[in-house]
Amino acid sequence: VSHLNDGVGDVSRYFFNIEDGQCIIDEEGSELPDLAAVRAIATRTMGEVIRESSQQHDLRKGLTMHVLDEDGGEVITVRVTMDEPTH
Amino acid sequence: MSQPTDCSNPFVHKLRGLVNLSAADIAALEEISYNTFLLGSQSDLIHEDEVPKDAFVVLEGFACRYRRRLTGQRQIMAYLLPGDLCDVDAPSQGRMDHAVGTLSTCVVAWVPHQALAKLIARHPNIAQALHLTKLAEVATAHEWIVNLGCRSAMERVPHLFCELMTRLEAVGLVQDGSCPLPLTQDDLADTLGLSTVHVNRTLQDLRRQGLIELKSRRLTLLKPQRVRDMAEFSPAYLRPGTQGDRHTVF
Repeated sequence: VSHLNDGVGDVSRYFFNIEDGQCIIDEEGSELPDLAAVRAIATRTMGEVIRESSQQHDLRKGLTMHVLDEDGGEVITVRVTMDEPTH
Repeated sequence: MSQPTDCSNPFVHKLRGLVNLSAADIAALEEISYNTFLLGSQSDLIHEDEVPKDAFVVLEGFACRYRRRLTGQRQIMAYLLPGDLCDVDAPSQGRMDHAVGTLSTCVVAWVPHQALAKLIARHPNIAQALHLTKLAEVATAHEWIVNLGCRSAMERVPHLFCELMTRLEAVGLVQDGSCPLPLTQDDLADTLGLSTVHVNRTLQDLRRQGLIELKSRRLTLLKPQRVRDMAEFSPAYLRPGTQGDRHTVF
């Protein structure tokens, strides 16, 4: 298993911002060892938010997670939309 | 001679909230929780697969029942808070299907099984109180299943916080609407079946709405009724054997 290390230390801080209409900015961030861990937690968190979205958010409006590094650079973007094609 | 007003021992405090205890009962409880040890956080008290020889009472700090998978994932199944005994049924339960470990620095008192059996045989009030605590443990596990199965993060976190506040109030650890919360976001995530990022996001949301305050490892519910309503929290399950809903005020 290859890991993409940040090259500086053991862990880096990543910020997970989710745009779901109210856009809660992640001010604290989470320390993670590598990009594989960022991917895994982004996937899991989006899964949890989608699971709850039936109560709280209309997926037709789209749901986007922007994962930023400490310099504000976008590391990962996860987009989910629900389309209902009109015939 | 123990004074009935002495509440420094959380084990006594908790059981006295459940049944009437005589001075002799209180003295016996204090005697049995005399042999104390200090443990660092993340230390196992009982390993999975172990056949526990002795029981213990948590006097300070938070411990938990948990299972760790080979993948490294952990599920916390119950919290053991000050005043909680683990485990009154230990002699008959055989090999542990889970581990018990500390989440924070803890002070625990080891209670030899024979001493516990003698205590229960000689003190029917204590036996009744321990029976009620066991029922509350089962009821709490049921609530946690509901939490994991069908509550959202914005309901799970408030529900757990209301439960902790109620349980810690029952052992005199709530001061000015705030209680100790010596847990990490990883601990909360592994308790609530959420990712740490989701826990973090939920805590930030609760803070931003002015509902909770987390400072110096303490939790304050700033709008307790709002938080209870969000989680549909009713403390009755923590008080088995009582009629109706004895709502505690925190």
